[in-house]
Amino acid sequence: MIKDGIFFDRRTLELRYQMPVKNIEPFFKGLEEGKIRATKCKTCGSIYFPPQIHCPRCNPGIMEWIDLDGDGKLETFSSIEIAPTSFQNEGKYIVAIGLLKEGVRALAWIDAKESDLRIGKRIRLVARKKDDAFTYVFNLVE
Amino acid sequence: MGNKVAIVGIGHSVFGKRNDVSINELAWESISVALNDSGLTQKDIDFYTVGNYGLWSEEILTAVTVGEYAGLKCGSLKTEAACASGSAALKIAMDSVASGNSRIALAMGVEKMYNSPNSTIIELIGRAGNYFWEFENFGLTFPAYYALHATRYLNDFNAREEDLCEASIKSHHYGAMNKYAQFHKEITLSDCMNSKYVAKPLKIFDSSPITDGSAAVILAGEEEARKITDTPIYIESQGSATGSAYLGKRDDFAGLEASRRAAEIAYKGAGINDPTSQFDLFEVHDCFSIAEVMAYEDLGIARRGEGIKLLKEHQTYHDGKFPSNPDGGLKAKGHPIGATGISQAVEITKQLRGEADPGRQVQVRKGRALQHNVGGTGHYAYVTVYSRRN
Ligand SMILES: [Zn+2]
Repeated sequence: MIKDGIFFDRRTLELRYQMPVKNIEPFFKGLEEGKIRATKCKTCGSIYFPPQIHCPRCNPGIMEWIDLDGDGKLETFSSIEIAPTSFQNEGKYIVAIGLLKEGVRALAWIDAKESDLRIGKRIRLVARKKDDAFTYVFNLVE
Repeated sequence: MGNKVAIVGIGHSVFGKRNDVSINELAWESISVALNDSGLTQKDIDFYTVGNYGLWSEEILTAVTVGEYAGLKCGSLKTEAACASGSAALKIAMDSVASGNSRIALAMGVEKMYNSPNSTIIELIGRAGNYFWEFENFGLTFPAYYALHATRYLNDFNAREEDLCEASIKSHHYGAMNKYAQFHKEITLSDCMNSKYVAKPLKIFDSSPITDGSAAVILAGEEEARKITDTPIYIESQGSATGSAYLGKRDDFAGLEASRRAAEIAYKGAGINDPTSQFDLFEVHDCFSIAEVMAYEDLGIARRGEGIKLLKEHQTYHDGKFPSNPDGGLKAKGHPIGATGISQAVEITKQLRGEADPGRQVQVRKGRALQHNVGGTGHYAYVTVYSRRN
């Protein structure tokens, strides 16, 4: 169809990726058990979040899974006012980055009132179930 | 590193919502002008590069479709470095000439974003970070990445949203004078402050628009360049760096670490020991108001936390101490992702030649200009030093 000088495409494409997570299954198992897991290199001690199964510093290094405590502090945040199309049904959400006790940072939604948020406040990263899938979220520690 | 390389021809399309042209026609608008500007023809070009992010437009092999339309048959490739794809195109073309593999090369960038609806663009550009760990669960958007930096910056340096708006007011002031710009209207502080939030604390008027556009430069080695033109603009050095995909791997949200590393390499390569006194012009990557402020600081023309001060004191206006983006920047000129890096190079060439419009031409005393082009949120960084002298 041509309208106002524009040809409207008759071909559509749905993109839905199939992403291998076999090697980081302990992370998702951990979420089901209420734990947030990271990987740690036994050789150099580096902690990786998001977890990865190779240590580029050591090449090779021997990796193990560790449970993160979850305790951390709020480094920055933003309330997303115009969300991507695929998040239109999620309601309002606030994205935050927190520095965790173990020295790694995580990015996740923070379940709190925007007016209560201050950089430096104590937060906790916890596992949660959402729409049949396990994910994780920050909570404010009062 | 091989021969010194110079820009010997430039072309720039009108930026904006260009539903009057196809992507290939849009690319030709700048390629044809660049060829005529240099007095060269397609036969002279030994290699060409096309900066293009695509996805929102239908063609995937844009280097090939553009080449076919423009009568180019030599070797080519498309470059992707997100919003720095243009600088990546410049790098490949420049290296091709510097190594002696090409006598003349063409670097261009083109983006046709309006071939998709806004909702598709927001979706696609929000994925340009770490898709699996950021987008999949948490729905980041392009403004959100910079908003995370803005929140931290405002907090650490006790700045206000009004201060960020100063960057946008300046951009629109110069956009109004640039006939190639997308926006030609000045804005006031209240226009900016009253605009809607996209990702707090950033508002519509803190953000660059969705843009169609193209830009092209033709490159030649030093000796060849002097035969082609009386006003070659030399690329003295280029520094590049890559930041982490996952923002949680960064330990500084009030600046972009990759920008600082790229600048350090570029300064070293061009013998710059004091960026505050050796440049006539800065073209900085202001996809958002906060990005312009962080750029001043990451490039070392303002101390940490003092970028805002440069804006308030009008020191980065065209007649100030550190003229920045007298073309309106990404904010008002527009930000056609893959074309932006080449557009900055075109503006620098115009300015150093003394050919910019009255009212926005900077005074050229030192003969040197700096380009800062960031892909994503400091995911890619390219900093390039240009000079009109040898
Ligand atoms: Zn290791």
